[in-house]
Amino acid sequence: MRVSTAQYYQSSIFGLQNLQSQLSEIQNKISSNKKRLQASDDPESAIQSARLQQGLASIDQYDKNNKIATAQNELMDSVLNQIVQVLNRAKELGIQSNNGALSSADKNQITTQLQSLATQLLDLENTKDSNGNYLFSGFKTSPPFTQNSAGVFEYEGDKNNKQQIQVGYQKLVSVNESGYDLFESITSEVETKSLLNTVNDLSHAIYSSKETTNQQEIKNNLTHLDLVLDHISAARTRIAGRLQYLDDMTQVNDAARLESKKLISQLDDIDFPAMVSELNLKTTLLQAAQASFAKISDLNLFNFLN
Amino acid sequence: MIDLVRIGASALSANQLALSTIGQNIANASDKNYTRQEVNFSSLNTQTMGVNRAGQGVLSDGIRRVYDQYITNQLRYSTSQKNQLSVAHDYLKQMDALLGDGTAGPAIQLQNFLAAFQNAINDPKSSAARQNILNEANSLSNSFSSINNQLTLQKKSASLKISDLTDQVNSITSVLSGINAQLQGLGKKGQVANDLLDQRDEQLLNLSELLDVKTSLSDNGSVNVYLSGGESLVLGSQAHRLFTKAKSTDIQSTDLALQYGAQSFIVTQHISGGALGGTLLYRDQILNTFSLQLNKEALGIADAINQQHQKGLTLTNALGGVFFQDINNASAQRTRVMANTNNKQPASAEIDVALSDISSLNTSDYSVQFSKTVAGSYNIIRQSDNAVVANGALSAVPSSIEFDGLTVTFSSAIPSLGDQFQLSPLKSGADFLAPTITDVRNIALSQPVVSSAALGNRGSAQISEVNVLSTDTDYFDMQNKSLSPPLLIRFYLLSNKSSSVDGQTSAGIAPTTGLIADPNPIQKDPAPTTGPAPTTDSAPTTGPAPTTDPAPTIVRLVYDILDNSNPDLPADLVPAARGLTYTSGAHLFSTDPISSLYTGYQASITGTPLAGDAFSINYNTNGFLDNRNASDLANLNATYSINASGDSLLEGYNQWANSVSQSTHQFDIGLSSAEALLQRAQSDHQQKSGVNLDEEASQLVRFQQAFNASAQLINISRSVFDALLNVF
Repeated sequence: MRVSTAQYYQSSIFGLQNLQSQLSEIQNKISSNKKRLQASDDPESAIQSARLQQGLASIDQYDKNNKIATAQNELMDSVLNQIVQVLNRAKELGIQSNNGALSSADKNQITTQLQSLATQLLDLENTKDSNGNYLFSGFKTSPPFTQNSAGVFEYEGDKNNKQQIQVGYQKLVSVNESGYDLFESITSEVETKSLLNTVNDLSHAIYSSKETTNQQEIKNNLTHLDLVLDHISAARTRIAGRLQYLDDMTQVNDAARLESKKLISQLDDIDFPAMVSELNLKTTLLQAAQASFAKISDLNLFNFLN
Repeated sequence: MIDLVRIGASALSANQLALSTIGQNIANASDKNYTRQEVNFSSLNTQTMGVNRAGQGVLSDGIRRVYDQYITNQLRYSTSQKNQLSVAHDYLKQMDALLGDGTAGPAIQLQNFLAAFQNAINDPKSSAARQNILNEANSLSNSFSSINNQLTLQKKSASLKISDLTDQVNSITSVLSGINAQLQGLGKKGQVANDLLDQRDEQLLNLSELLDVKTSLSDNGSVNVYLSGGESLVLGSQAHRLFTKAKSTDIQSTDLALQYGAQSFIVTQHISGGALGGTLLYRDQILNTFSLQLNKEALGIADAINQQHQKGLTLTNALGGVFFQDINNASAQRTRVMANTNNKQPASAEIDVALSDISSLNTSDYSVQFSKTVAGSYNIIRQSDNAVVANGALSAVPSSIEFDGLTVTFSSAIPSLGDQFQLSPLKSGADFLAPTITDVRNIALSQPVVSSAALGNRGSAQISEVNVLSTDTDYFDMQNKSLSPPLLIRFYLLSNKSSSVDGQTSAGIAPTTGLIADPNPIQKDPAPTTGPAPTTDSAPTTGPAPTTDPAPTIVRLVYDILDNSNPDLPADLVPAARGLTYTSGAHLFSTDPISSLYTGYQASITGTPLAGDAFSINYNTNGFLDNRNASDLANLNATYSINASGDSLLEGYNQWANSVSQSTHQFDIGLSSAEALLQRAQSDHQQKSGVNLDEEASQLVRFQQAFNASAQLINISRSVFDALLNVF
């Protein structure tokens, strides 16, 4: 084969440049620890990696929401726990007042205590969360429970709406409870009465319990109070279940995150030993090419003509 | 003896010519366009000397270029192919670099934007959370703009480049026509034209770097140059000028045309290969597709968010309105249409293009062509595949045509015969992502409708949350920020005996609020306290009923939907919705937008209601902790499909970015194989026509020796002659 002199130099230079650019690419990959410097290096793995990373971002968002939902539900549980304690105290007072030997001064004192418990309950039912929003007002921003001029407690919040938050794909968890469901709509065979008004009515019945009819009234209210306690206990069970669910979701998310990260690493990170051995190979090749170029370009017939 | 001198002299001059040719070869060894030359010898005619025929010496036939036309053509073709790919590849690399490793830019911004709604879910009334939504919306908009700007910039730069390259083509074709003139002048006898032929080939190779051409050689060495469509760029000593002109369909873009005297022809479609072909390919096809896809993605996001946002309720108790620019605002619809510059003037037809279904949109422009002979007859052609997507005849305006998720409306006048219009439905799509909202209170994170059960319901039935479908119905009163009207759903028992007077009997109980359970609901239905009911009702109890009708009265549970504007006195809807049959879990309202009971929202009641139970549906006034619309907005990525295959917004972007990296990848591969082919062609060419110094050195030795020997011939001849003289 004829090889023109210009062609010999040109192709030698091309070969050297080619090896040098390959070396520089390997160097870039090693220093960035990335298989792909550009998506176009391997579009298929680039889009897979992008999808996985987007999925990872959703998982992180779900986790963030999960923490918020957990905090809100724990807060609700703790408020309900306090309400139960206050209600138990009210119940004790009610039972105590059924003792016929009480003086009217005693009754006054019990009534005062019950009234103060009612105020405590009102405060608890109007608890705000860390954002300053009422826990039990549904969608409304105004205080859900108020006491009117006649001393009757009223509910002004939302009736059956609760805030929900997303903690997984198509998985919603409630972060507040409707005060209406929890404290207002407590229905017995006889009547529908709210928690606050039950305590309020109990206190009124005790205050005027000289009359025998009021003994029955006290009894009725105590029965209703038990119903209220059952109702709240059921709500707490619901919340406990939700907290358990949130904990489960965290674990599911952790497992999914680990798996995604593993896959992303397989798609993105370089195989270090393979890369280093390739670097060595290419370096050797470049050195050989340089040496042979120097040697062969020295061979020229003119050198031997004298 | 004279013969020997003559032979020696001819050999001397022939070998001298050979030596100077070698000198020329050595001198030009490093010029890649130089074609090595060699001298051809032939022996001179023999002469009869007695019985012998002796030679007369040597003659050089001329200096020949060592050359192969096939290899040269291959070299030109490979050059134009490589250059075409190389130019497009350079542009693609710029786009690819802008997108990074596929995880940056709009994909992240879109996620952040949707996450901002997620973050607002916990506290939807918070100004900080709302401000964050707006900030992320602006970032999203900017990230799309910056890519879109890059696309626009590339389009401009490509058009400039096309114009520059066109100038270069003209200067080469003009040089070629000059060379042709010289070659024609020399005629066929031209022995000294080797340098001109080298120049000609060099210019042709330079031209191949710009575009792919066909050539035909004539005997005198002059060359004619044609485009692939057969249009001549160079014909003998005549060069035709290539120039750019604005497209008739799109004045923002350019076509290439050839000038033939006073006439010119558009030749864009016949230009391929080389830098010019590569730039055209990138600008008109690759870049155009990228731009259409990106705009569609942006329009999809704007449409998804706008639609959902319009179903929401703001912190001022107003309905949401559009969040981003309205993709079908009047001016946008009009600017999607461009009249051909050759249309009949004055043009009075007005055309608007509305995007009616994003998921059915094609990433293509369209051309509307009106018949030159039949008034109003049209064809609409999709440019991506040249398919006719709609045809027919307009007989009156306004008139609308629907295809591919688009609604094209003609108004004002029917276009003239032969008129053409270019439709660019996705035009400026990225611009629609600019938020229209400035006051964060106007972000609609709540839903405008809430349902509730009446206090004291005795049944176990529950009403679902209300799902808003469209706020653009008569049931929403935007002005008064209320439902028109709020609704009351009330259950009662209906007797089969009074079914003929259904309406009236039910109307009879309407004045009672129905919120308190009736202790004896069976009595309730036929108990008409007012109106004409007593007369109809009394018939079964006082008449012959006991004897003729042994069967007991059958009652069934039904419900009315009433206007609850005045809760003390719920009234009938118009038309009335009374005595409706209850099915647990069934839709309460019509799903048919034409029905009077299409409220624009939907809910259902499940479980077992008892007579007297009631449910209400109200405007969610001050329901500022309602996060349902924020939640729906945050979930749009899962619920909104941007195309017919049901891909999400994010996936739509992924695919766009992937199409850029795939194209770049393909051009990476294509370019390296084109480079290898070019190298091969160059090497073939050099093998044939290049100078090898070792070869020349050996030839130098050879001809030097031949020259010495020739000189010796004369010397010998002289010695022989002298010897002969000395005899005398």
